[in-house]
Formats: sequence, structure tokens, C-alpha cells
Amino acid sequence: MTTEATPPSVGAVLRDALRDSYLVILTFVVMFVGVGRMSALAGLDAVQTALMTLLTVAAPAQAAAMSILAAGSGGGTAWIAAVTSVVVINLRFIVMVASVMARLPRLSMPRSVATLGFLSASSFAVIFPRMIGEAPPRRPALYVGLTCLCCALSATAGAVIGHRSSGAVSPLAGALLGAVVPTYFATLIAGQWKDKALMRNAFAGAVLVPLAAPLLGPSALLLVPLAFAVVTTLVQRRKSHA
Amino acid sequence: MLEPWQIWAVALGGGLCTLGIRMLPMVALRNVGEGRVRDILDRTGFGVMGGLVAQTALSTGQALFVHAGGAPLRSLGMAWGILAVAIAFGLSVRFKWKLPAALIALAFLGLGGLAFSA
Repeated sequence: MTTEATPPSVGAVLRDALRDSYLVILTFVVMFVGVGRMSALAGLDAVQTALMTLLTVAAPAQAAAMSILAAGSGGGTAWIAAVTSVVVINLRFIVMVASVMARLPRLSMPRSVATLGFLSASSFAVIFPRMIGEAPPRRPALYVGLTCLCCALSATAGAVIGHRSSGAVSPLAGALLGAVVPTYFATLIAGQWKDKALMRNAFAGAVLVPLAAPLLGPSALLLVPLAFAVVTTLVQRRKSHA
Repeated sequence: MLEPWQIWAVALGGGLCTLGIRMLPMVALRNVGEGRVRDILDRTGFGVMGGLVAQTALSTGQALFVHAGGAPLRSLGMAWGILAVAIAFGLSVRFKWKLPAALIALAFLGLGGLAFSA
């Protein structure tokens, strides 16, 4: 007699998602307080701040757009420059969505949007190692969707708090909590230590992206890892065929 | 001073454009599946994570040390941030820790920030 494993309930998947992402959730609340504060200074109301944060979930892009609006230069075209900066900075999401999509079962377009529509750089960093690790989630699409949504909602909450109450977090405490992101993500990368090809690419990204950033701007995070991955994959394939 | 519709254009337009960017691979890369493309995307994903870690370590290290002021301390803060990340990575590889490794590295970073901004 064969027994089929019962798929985990939505509650169990949500608990799984929260267990993996609680540090990002906590950090997002604090990090986006600053974004909310900048939004208030730039003239956005709380609803606009919440809407933009929920759909964007990208502190660097929002900070850049709010700086442009707050500076007031460019007159009537400042809003175009602000939207353009958001688009350019968020182009990095193309690669992140594609990477996660490659690990998911084939989904309809509405389900794809529901699953990956709120992906952020930080939720990607939580999801991706889990998807390619030894214990991938048993309901991957639901896990990805819930993780992204939890992170997006915490970012929105932080932005609204920041909009309503400026100075809620001291700069020193904010910087310290912001440091949770790189230290925690480093441990997520370390989880794939045995895969030398992935480690080579992670180290190359760590060294080359900051070096290329002054030249390429925010696109460095998209272009440099992509170029390095293409080159190393092709070189490896050529070696294995030789 | 911006018109109300211009502020809405930034809030809603920026958000919807980002959603559109996320949808691009859903439309254009429906059959990523197996093979070379997935290899490249996996590696790119880790490259992005490495870049993200390094950039945030540099910026948070700099932000923590900036209270003391001066370019040399900012550079020290950036180096301290990278060292903290290396500690988290090393502890995680050696002991398979996640949260404890991150907290130890965070304490190292915080102590440095407090010491140099005192």
C-alpha cells in the first residue's frame, strides 16, 4: 500500500514563511520608517506612501524618487525623473523574478503575479536559498507568495509609521537594525557553501558590484552578476565538452 | 510645487511600473525550466545576493561610523561592515548557524559603531 504525503496547510506554509523571513520583516519595518519620513517631506500623503511602498517594496528606489521630489528641481518634469529613477533601480527585479520562477511549477499568469508580484531584494534573498537548498518548501508557489506578501506588508507598515511619526527611530538604532540585512543574508549564502560555482558567483558579486556601482549606478546589481554568470557558465560548459 | 496628479503619478506610476518589471519574465521567460538558462539564473541570483550583502554592509558600516565624522572613519566603517559580514559567513559555514552567526556579527558591528562614535 502506498501513502501519499498530505500537502501542508496554508497555516503551516505561513508559519514556514514567517520563520524564514521574520528578521527581514522586523528590519523592513525599521528601514521603511525612513522611507515614510522622506515621503512625507516630498509631499506624499499616507495613502500614497502606503500604495507606493506596497507595490514597489524597494527602499533605494523610493528614496531616490523622494529625494528628486523633495529637491524640487526640474519643475514640472520632476515627477517624470522620479518615476524613471524607480524604473531604472528596479530593473534588478527582472533577474530575481526569473531566478525564482525557474524553481517554481508552471503557473498561470494571475497566479504568477500573485506569487511574485510583491518580490523584493530581501524576500528574494530569503526565498532563493531555500528553493535551491536541501529542503525546498512543499508548496513552493504558496510559500513564495506568502513570504513576499509578509515582507511587503511589513515594509508598508514601516513606511506609514514613518510618515505619521517622524523621528520614531534614532539614526544609530536605525543603522544598527539596517545591519541585520547583510549579516543575516551572509548566513543564507553560506548555506550553499558546498556548491563552489554558486559561491564563486556570490563572491564575484560581493567584490565586483560595489566596484562597478559608481560607473553603472543601481544597474550594477543587475548587469554585473548576470555577465559573470553567463561567462562562468559558458566556460564551464566548454570545459566539460572538451 | 508639484500638482496633486503629479504626486499620484509618482506614487502609483512608480509602483505599477515596478509591478510591470516583475511581470516581464513571467511573459518573456515562460519556459526557463532546466538546463543552461536555469544554471545562469541560479548563478546570477547568488551574484545578486553577494552584491546586495556587500553594498548594504558598506553602507550600514559607513552609517554607523558616520556619527564620529570624517572620511577616514567612514572608510573604517565600511571595512568594519565587510568584516562583520565575513564573520557571519565564517561562523555560518563552520557551525551551520544562521541567527546566532548574524547576531554575533551584528554585535561586532554595533560595538565598533559605539566605540568609534563615542
